[in-house]
Amino acid sequence: MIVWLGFLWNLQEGKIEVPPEKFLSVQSVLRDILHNIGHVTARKVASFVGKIISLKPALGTVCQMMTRNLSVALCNRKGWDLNLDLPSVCRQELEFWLKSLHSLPNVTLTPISEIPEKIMFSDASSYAAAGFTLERNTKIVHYMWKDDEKNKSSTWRELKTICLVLKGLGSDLSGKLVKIYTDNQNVVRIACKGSMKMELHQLALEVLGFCVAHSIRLELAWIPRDLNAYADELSKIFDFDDWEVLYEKEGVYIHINVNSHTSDKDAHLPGKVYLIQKPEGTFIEWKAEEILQVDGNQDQDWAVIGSSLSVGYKPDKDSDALNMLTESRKKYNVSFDLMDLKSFKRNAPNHGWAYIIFILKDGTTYPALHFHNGGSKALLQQFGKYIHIKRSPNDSRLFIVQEHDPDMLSKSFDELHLFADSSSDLVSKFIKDPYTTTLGGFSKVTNFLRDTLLQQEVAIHRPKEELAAILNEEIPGMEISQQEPGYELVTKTKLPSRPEVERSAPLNNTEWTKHMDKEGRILNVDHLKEVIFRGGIDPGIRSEVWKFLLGYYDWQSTYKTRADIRKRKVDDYFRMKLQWKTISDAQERRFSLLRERKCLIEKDVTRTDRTHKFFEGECNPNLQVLNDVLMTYCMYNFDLGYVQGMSDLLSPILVVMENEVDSFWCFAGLMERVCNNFEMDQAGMKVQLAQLHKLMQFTDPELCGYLESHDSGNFYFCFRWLLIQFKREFSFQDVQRLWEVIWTDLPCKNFHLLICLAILDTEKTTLIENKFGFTEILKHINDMTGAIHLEETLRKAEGIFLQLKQSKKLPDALKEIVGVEVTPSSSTSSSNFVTPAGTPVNVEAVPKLEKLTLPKENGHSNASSGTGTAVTTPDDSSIEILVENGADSAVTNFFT
Amino acid sequence: MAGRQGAQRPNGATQGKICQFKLVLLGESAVGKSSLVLRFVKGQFHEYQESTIGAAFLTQTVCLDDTTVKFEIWDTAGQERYHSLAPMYYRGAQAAIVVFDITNQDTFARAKGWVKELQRQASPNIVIALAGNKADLAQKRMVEYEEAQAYAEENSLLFIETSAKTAMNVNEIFLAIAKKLPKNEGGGPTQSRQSGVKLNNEQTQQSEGGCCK
Repeated sequence: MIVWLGFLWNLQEGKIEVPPEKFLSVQSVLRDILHNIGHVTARKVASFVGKIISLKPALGTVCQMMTRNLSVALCNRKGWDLNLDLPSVCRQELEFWLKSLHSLPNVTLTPISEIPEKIMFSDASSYAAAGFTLERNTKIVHYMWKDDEKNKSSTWRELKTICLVLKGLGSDLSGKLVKIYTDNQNVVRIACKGSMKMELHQLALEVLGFCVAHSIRLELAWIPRDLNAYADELSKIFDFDDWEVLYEKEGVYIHINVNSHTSDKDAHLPGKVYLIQKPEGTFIEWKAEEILQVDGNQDQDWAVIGSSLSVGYKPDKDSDALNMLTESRKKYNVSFDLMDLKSFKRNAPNHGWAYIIFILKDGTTYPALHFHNGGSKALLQQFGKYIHIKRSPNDSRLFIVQEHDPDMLSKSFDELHLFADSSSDLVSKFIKDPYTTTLGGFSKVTNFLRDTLLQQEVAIHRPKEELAAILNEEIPGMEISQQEPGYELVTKTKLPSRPEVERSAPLNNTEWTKHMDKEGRILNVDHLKEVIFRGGIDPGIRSEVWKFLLGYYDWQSTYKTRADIRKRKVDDYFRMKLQWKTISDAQERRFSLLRERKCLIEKDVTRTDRTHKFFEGECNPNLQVLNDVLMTYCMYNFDLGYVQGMSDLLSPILVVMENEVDSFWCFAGLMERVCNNFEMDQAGMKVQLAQLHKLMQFTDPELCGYLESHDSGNFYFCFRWLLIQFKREFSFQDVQRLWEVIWTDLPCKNFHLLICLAILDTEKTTLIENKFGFTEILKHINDMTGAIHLEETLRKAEGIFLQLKQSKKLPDALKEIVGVEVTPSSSTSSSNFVTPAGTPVNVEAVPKLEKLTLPKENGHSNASSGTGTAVTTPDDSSIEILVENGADSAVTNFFT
Repeated sequence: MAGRQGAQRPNGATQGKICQFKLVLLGESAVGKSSLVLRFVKGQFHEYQESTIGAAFLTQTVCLDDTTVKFEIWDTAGQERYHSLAPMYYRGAQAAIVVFDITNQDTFARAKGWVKELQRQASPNIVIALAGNKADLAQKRMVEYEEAQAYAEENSLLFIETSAKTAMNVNEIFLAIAKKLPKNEGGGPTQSRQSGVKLNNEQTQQSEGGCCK
């Protein structure tokens, strides 16, 4: 330590310090001034300022900065020995020195050679501030300007950004040498020396104050704008309020339709994914890339609009289209609280990029986020700070958010003393691999067990004796007590393994024409159907082939007869169209039924597939065609009339046919196949839902049992699938492919039910491991729009069919459903189904569960009281079956 | 931004009571049921919102003083043909919004029908709100405010005119319902198991202690 030039040179710590006597002399002048404020001469103030400035070698630029207002006041002095007017800003400076003189950090001797411990970059745009740290786990600070802040000078915003960046990282910086790069040279100067502009000076003080409070040694440096690109870009992120961005990644895409080809640019929405700290929680967000548009200058309009739009549009119309596009993209935006996350699926990114599908606790399932430029792992790593994630033992792609400490679970079991050693072994084995453990067939017990084991809430809240009773009774031998009333169990059925099947190319024109004789008769229809079943139809000949599939033309017809038929059909159509067209207003006033239907059709037509090119835009003429075909169908089948859902069935046909009359007859043909779906009493739907249930009981008792025990044995979540033949689940292209496959009636009757089974099979792990209940299942299924792989599903569905077909014990009821031959001697084989009483039942005509619905007295008191109220209206008999089958019978099974 | 108006998550989420209510939307086809929910839950509006097939389920949480109210919203298909499915959804519901279109007198008549049915068959304590939607189309108004107001008063319903398009009164109607719902034990709503629809853990827990945890 040496004294030199009036300072203490601390060579050990490399610092220049103020000798104590200098502090004392400054302090005494300061006290004097503060004590006599209002009566202090300019000379005295000048002497104080001089003393402070002289400390600069030891204390740094703060000496200049914190005397700036005093200096200004001195410049305005009236005379050296006259009292100096000291405005409040000056007094603040004086008070600062009183308070901080001793605590200010000392200038270090080697500031240049010392490596900063934190390096940061900052930048401000007109709407946001941003900064990031240069380190392995980059931290980002982002702040949206408030309206008044937006109007400040750029220097103010840049300086404010420094403040925000420092404060945003707060304690991370404590005691460190921090270097911040900014591309505004004024900022560097002002932050060091203060400014004559009040508000800038205030900010400089804020920066200083923060650094002092956190013992931060701050170095500011200027870099050219082009070297500050990342911070610059960050600062241009729009849409946040005052949130902190914890992580972000661009190049994250939502593929509107899972089956789309990569060449289809419209199908991949570019966007960014963020992890954001908001006041109300930690949020994951995905935002579609803004479609930029420069307003004002007409000339520039074209320069910035994306290339996705054709240039033929007029500018005004174009901006409309752009708005529409932006709007329609927004609906894909994702935003949820991390606390609501239940699970996510992430593919192994070996093949190209990784994607993540987020699933929330309420069943909300977001479209997959595709990380084209990587970053999915980094995002997931961030999660670790907030939630505990466990990989599903059954599906390596599925990750479940753990709600509770897993130790709690085993503890709760220990406390209950439920298991002897042997059975606890069984249990642990079961937890490890519930699918292959031999409990598969005893779905209800296993499902209940799963719940008990995996959901500690249940274990805790369910009365102990109840739990004990069930477990003790069922676990030891895993035998089903068939005397148990209400127990409807399927004995273990071993299905043959599911064969792999191949799909092939669509039917093309060459092959199609090969199947026609000279006169146009279709030869070898069976083979043709087989080709269509296996690969669909080339879009070029689709409109022609559909006419055969939908019964508009007979396969045996010739060119000649087809021309005749078509002529007749045209006449027929217009005759019927004329019927409703010529009803006068006066007539209509007395024809409420027609009026109602007209109104209903109108309402639905305006909202059917309006985002599809064929129907988009105001006054699109195709809407009128849609309307007219549906109205004419009312005249064609007045008993059925119009029911919601029909417009969905018509729209893909119209898109294919591009012709009103052809569309009508093809639609009529399709309605022939599905009209039962639209019956007043929903009987057709009920039958299908029950058939689905029966099929799954056989093909996948475990999932079936799970659904039953989670109030979903009614399969109501498949309602939309069945009602409109998966129309809402797939893109137009895919739905057209799917429909033509279904219309071949291959490989069996009711193939669409096997498609349901195939989709559910794919979703099985997700449903079970997320422990979804009725609402979550329904929501998850509803959210799967555009996320179902068509070809994979078709392969699986055919595989399931082959399993059924090859099964030696296929019950007659199922043979009936899929239309395989019922062997006369097979009545005993249906004893796979066992009733409570243990007698084989022939399950053909009546949905089985219906028979097994228990009298309410037998049910759990809570569960039963609700059902009674449901069935009082005469017209909701459907409900009784739907609800009692699913929800309550499943409940009663457990609680009796 | 989208989805953030009105609906705020609790800070930290541990303070105060948490109540969960089942709410069902009923009303004639195309009156704006789905649009109201979409506005409330996601802050979005689609001019050509597609018709609801079957039913949709959404959740949204609102904060009311020290209580966090979580709505489990069932959005149903409006057409008469699907009427028979409605009881499945309103059974066990603690609240219902019956929606009509102020530009269409028929939808108001239908709304009255729904109110009647709810009064007869839903839980006796169900809170019913009547929403006169499409208030942005006031120039095409066919149902007078006073008329609907008087009807609502007679039947002790909440009544608010809303516009899913402009977001007018959308959060307000849900908040008004939240306020009216009993949030204390004892005065709680019907136990959820009676709904016959949902029976997950959360609700199992709840049924032990009213609606609040």
